[in-house]
Amino acid sequence: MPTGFSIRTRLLIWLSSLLTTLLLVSSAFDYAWSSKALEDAYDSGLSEAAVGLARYLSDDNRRARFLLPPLAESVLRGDPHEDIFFRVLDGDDRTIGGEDWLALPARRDARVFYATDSPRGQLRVFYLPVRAGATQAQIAVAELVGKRSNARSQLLWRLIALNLAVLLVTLAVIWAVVGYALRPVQQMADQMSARSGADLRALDAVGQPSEVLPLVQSLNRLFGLIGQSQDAQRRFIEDAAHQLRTPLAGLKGQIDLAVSQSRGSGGVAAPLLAQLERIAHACNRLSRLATQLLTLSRADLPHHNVAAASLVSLPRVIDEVIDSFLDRALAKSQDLGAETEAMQLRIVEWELRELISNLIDNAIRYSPDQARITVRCRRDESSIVLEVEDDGPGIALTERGKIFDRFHRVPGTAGTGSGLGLAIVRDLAAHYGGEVMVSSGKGERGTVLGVRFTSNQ
Amino acid sequence: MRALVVEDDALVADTVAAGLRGDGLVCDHVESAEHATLSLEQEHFDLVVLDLGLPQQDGLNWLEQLRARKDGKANVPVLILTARDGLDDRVNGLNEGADDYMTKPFELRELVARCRALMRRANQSRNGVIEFGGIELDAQLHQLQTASGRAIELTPREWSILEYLLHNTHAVVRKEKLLQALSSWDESLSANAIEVYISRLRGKLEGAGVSIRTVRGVGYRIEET
Repeated sequence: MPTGFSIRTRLLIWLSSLLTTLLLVSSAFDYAWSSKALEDAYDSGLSEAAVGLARYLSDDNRRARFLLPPLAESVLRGDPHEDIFFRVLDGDDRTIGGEDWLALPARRDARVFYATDSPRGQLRVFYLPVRAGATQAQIAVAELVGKRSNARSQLLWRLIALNLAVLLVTLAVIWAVVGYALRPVQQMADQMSARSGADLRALDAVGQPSEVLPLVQSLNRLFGLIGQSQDAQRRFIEDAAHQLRTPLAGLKGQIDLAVSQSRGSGGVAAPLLAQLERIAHACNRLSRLATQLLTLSRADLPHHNVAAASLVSLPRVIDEVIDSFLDRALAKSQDLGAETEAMQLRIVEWELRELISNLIDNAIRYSPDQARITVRCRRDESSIVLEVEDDGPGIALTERGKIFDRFHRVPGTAGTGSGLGLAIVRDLAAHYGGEVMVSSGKGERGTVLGVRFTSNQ
Repeated sequence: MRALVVEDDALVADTVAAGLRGDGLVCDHVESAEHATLSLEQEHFDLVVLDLGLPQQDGLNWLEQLRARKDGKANVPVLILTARDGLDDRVNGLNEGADDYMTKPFELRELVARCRALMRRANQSRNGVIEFGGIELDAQLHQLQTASGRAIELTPREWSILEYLLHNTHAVVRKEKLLQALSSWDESLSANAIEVYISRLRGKLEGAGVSIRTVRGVGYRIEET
């Protein structure tokens, strides 16, 4: 059976995709804003450096002079890795300090940021026109942009790491919370799966969350309906039993009377007597079929009361059933007997009786006259085996798998079976985990049909 | 001998009555428990065949009342004949004081045989005599004789076994039961000993119209021949 995604998985799939999108968008904004601030911070650093340099300008007889003490220069340039460059020019564009290769902007009438290339890479430059006393001067301070992009990518990685952590923690919390919230459902499922199919008691609705309550109530309603329909079915079967059996009993008795009177007096023509006997025979079949159908439908009821099982003595029931079949076996001159040892089986007694009856009925019906039929109960390791052996014609290997099917009759067999007996045996045995078995009898002759009960005791 | 058939289904009642009449009984038929009570007041019956699903008063209920009577009629043998089956009903019926129980549809011959057995048992408890096949066992005089008047001598154990079999003429008597029944008489009786006694009994009963059938692995059944 293909199962859908669990609620937890659904929630996780949906929430994680939504959260991821959300976090991606917010990261993009965060990144954009942060890198703008980063840019500004670096730019203001550049302009501060330019303003700082301006302090070392002086007016030397209407000519600008730039004198940077080595200490101040090392402070400005700082770590050699910082890669700060500058160029100071006087009003006549003569370089009076710094790197003379540093390119100047196209327009030089106002302070401006611009980009330029250098052998060491791309530069961000701040250009500042200043006054040095009465004369003009110009300062350009440059910085490698690589520093900024390094800072930016660091920022980006931190953002990603942080958002990933948020995502994972959120999903973990959802996982845990969903599990907690769905616990009532899980508990209900456990409660249901621990039940036997026959258990139709209402589920406890007290304390159920409002989302689960309708489910519990619907299930309880369904249980009630099933219980009612089972009761109705059971009543119908009981009624049918009564309604069918009584007229059948009358019919059968009347025919028996007619047969025995005709035989006794000799007053009826032979063909009529033969007809009467055929009717009697058909009536017996009908009776048997009705009984078997009722047994089968009763055994089919899922509400069937296995709880009513008790420890039953196998030899006693076997002897009693043999007693009830003795006349039928004697009518075919068959030797019907038992090989039993004392043992008990936990079972509903009428079911055991029906089970043995159907096995014996089958053996008597399909074994020839004078056959030897033995009903046996024995222990086999930890299981109990109940079997009926005959020394009749046996059952072909190809047929053995089918004989327990309803209405299956072995082709070419004489007799008037309903084809239900062994299906009843199989169904009744199944109530107790019993397994039907078929094999050849002693010396590969005849048939052994039986049931093995394992975990029963 | 007189039997009362309490059965609301006319066909079944007619069948049972015909079967019993064929066996030499006088047979009355009523269709309800109320009529059964009336008939019982007017007549003496040796046997009641009782259906459980009666129109007004239930058969089991009627049986309970019958057994609660203070006169001699309380002890009339009752065979329950019903369409109900299942173990519970069976136990119920026997607890309420039924002597035997058959479910519909039934074999008429078996019904008649069981009725016979019930009356035979009741008769014995009344005057100590059991008649079966061609023999007559008189418990008071401790005599067994054939229909032709020939007396058969039995040892006490043979007597006990035969008496037990005659009390259960319609059923296979389990060897185990037979042992139990005789164990008070002699603790050390073995299953093999039973076989020896049975074989001696067979010898003595030859030609008396009675035979003892061995049901392999189960026990014995006494039969008319």
